[in-house]
Amino acid sequence: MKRKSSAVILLAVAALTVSSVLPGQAAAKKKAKDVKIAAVVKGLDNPFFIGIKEGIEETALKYGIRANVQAAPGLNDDVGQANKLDSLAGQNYDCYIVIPISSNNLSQAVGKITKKKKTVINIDSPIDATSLAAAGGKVTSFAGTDNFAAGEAGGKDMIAKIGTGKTIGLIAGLAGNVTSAARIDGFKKGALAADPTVKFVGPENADWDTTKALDKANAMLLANPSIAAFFAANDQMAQGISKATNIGTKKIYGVDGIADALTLVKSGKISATISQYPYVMGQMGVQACIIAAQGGKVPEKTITPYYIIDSSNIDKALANNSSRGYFPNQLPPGTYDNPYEKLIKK
Amino acid sequence: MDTKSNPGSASKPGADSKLSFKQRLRDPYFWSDWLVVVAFLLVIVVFGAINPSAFLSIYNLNNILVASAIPAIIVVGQTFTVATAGIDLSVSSILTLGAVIFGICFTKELPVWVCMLGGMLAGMIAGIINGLIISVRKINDFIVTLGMLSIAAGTALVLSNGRPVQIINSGLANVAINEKFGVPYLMYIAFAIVVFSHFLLFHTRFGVHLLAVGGDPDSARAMGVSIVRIKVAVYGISGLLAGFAATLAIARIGAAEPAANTAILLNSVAAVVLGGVSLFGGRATIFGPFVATLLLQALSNGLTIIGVASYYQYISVGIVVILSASLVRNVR
Amino acid sequence: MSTTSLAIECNAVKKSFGNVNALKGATISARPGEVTAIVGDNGAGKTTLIKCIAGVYQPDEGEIRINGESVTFDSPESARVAGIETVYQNLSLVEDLTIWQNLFLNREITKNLGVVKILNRAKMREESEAMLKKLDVYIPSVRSRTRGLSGGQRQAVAICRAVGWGSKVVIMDEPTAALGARETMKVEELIKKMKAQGLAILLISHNFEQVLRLSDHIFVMRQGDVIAGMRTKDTTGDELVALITGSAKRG
Ligand SMILES: Nc1ncnc2c1ncn2[C@@H]1O[C@H](COP(=O)(O)OP(=O)(O)O)[C@@H](O)[C@H]1O
Ligand SMILES: [Mg+2]
Repeated sequence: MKRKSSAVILLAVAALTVSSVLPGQAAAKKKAKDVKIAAVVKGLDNPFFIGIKEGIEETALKYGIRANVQAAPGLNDDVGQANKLDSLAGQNYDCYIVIPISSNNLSQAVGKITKKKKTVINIDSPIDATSLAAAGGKVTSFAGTDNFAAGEAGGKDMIAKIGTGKTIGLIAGLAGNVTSAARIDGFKKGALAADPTVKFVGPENADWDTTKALDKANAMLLANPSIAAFFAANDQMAQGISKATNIGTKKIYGVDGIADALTLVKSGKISATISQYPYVMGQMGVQACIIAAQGGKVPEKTITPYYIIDSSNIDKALANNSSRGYFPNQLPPGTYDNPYEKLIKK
Repeated sequence: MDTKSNPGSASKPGADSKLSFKQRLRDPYFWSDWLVVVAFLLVIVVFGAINPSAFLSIYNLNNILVASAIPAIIVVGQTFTVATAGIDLSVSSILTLGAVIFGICFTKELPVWVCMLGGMLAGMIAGIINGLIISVRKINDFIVTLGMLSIAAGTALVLSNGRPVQIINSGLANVAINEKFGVPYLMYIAFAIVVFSHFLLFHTRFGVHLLAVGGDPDSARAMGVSIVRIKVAVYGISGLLAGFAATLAIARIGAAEPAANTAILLNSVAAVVLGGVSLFGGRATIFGPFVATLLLQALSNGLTIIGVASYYQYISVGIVVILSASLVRNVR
Repeated sequence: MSTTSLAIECNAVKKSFGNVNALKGATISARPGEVTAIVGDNGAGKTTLIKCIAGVYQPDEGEIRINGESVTFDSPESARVAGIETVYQNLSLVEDLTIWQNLFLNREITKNLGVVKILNRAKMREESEAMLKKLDVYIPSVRSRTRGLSGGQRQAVAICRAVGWGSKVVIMDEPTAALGARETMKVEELIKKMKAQGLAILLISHNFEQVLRLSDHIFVMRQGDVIAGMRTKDTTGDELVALITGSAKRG
């Protein structure tokens, strides 16, 4: 699988749409190292969230803070995650970084924290504004990826590589998952914009799972031999597709940018991964906490970067490797804008 | 109350126990019932010593009670099924199905109480189907409810199109957030169900028949007790409670979520075992598993507060479950 | 024999399981106030016969009469309603339940609150004690679980349960097979008391001495047939052995 292309930096950062001045919640200015931070992320059974956790912990340490990072007790345990946040809310943290399992499940817990006049920073998946308002909660800043935009970029790029009039197989994550739906919908939009004649097969749900994706890909190829390329809503599923019997040299795109995916891009087994940077989300979450504690203006919403990593920039991406984790691709292979960093007072 | 026949009441001193203290100490079941209480107190004391200001604050104890309410209701249903020597693996999926039905009714702008009944009815029907297949077709409980786990989860996804329904209702939110005399409303509801279930198990004909079917189905049948009726009732109750818990889950998270939360299932089985209920059936208490639920939530809460990383929390909870179960076994 | 003085009669009862003819036309009868023993080798059809009487099995052919009236039982419940109680080899006691709960299993005394049937525990305990007392059975507490009882005590509880319900016929399938000498004696005492109370007792036993000690009438079964019936005083252990093994015949 060879591909020559210019580095496609689709979006270095679309950021800082709105900045708002927040009432000085921590009126007394704090030194960065005195800010106490707790975080509740999703289940740590996914490299993506481990990446976020590392971003939070390592960034906090850089400022001399030891952050308490907790995860939901189990997959889909929405109530359990709310319990976790409740447990932490009873303690004297200045700031809580949260990633809700669903768009509503943490609203009430955030409401309780807001009542205690503490800061909440929301990263990765947004908390629904209506339910948050109903619970009397307030989120000071949001930093997350735009999964729809990432999918859309992938769709455009894939058509550029395979040409027009082709059929693309789509493999989604868990049925009903918002992230999966955004990536798939974005991909379709991007591909249709580049080629209105493109046809799709699926999406089939493979529950984010490598083996299930392999089975689905085999079945789809059997039923539709005309499939020219696959798009999977995450890298593990892209990896599964790459092992399908009749896959040949068909193009495969995944999303996330996990370690295995980078290796597979390097070896040509998959064509590209639309890489997101969970580490950066964790980083921005911590920095937002510090700004708020120092009484500064916190950017209300920041979109974290994504890059399409393919043969053209894989070496650079691999050079960015951290020594550990499933998500070694900690920082993007190019520049990106961090609106938070410069707002922190030394 | 007959202290020996339903050891769960051991925590209520005196009623009319004719057995001497010494005799009671020799009853292994006495120990299996007290073990969970001792373990619970131990958890409170240990975390209270490590971080008294955070763990023992009214705010935090309240959190533990809120967190325990929904699992406590599910555990009651699970206790009933385990007492008949069965198990209900479908509780978490049935809860999800109940929530989805609630969501559908809510979207159709039906009153909240109708939505709640809708969820409960769906749960009860799923449970009755479980019970009928288990008792009439004589298929293993584990297999049938495992199948129902999948069917209910799938039905929930189909009916909801995989999308959550946001449910903003001040009445429900009020129930989830507020408290009276320092105890959250949710816990009053859960505790009422616990007390009623205790009454059902130990003070009604149904309860005796349930324990008879669990302890020795052949003898129960020989005495004319209908196994089918008991099994259907037990799984129906478990489904009904899961459908009811769906409303509380909705109250708590403000949405009907279409994806099943298996943590609830694992928690319920762990609490039943910790609570000293025999997996072989015939022996049960309601208060044991209830205290075990408080214990598990206090443990999770305490570990979070002292900042134990999530990875280790899984391990600790697992160790507590296995350790207690083996202690109970040793005493027996 | 006048028909009316018979508590129970089986006339030419047949029962097969697939191609096994467990009963080929068994005829027996039992009188109130008497112990009627059924003896026979393993597989002779004794258990099958009493299960037909107790409503567990339905005979393929033949007739069962209770106090002269022809009956058909579709379940053990309907036999019980007609006054026939059975103490099976396994006793049908639920070990995890207390003695009083076992004595009243499926016959609980309740106060009905709508559909909820609330147990009247005090009354059932009281009556349990009376039931045990009536047959002079000593058990420390009716509140203890059945699990802790000795084999003899269990047998006694099962017998008390069978007797306690105004029953007319009590059927016992090898009641002392699993008991020691002492406990066997106690159960025999119980059987005598039941007899004194005017019950008709059908007793299956492999113990000839016991049969000769306790019974008033004996039926011998072999290969699904009742091959002999006689008053106990007219027979001996040797004759019974000969009949059972088939080396002798008697009308
Ligand atoms: N439920 C059954 N199904 C098939 N065969 C049976 C069944 N019950 C008894 N039999 C057979 O009927 C015959 C009589 O058995 P049974 O009445 O138990 O004898 P006994 O009690 O005299 O030892 C035996 O051959 C036995 O194997
Ligand atoms: Mg027999």
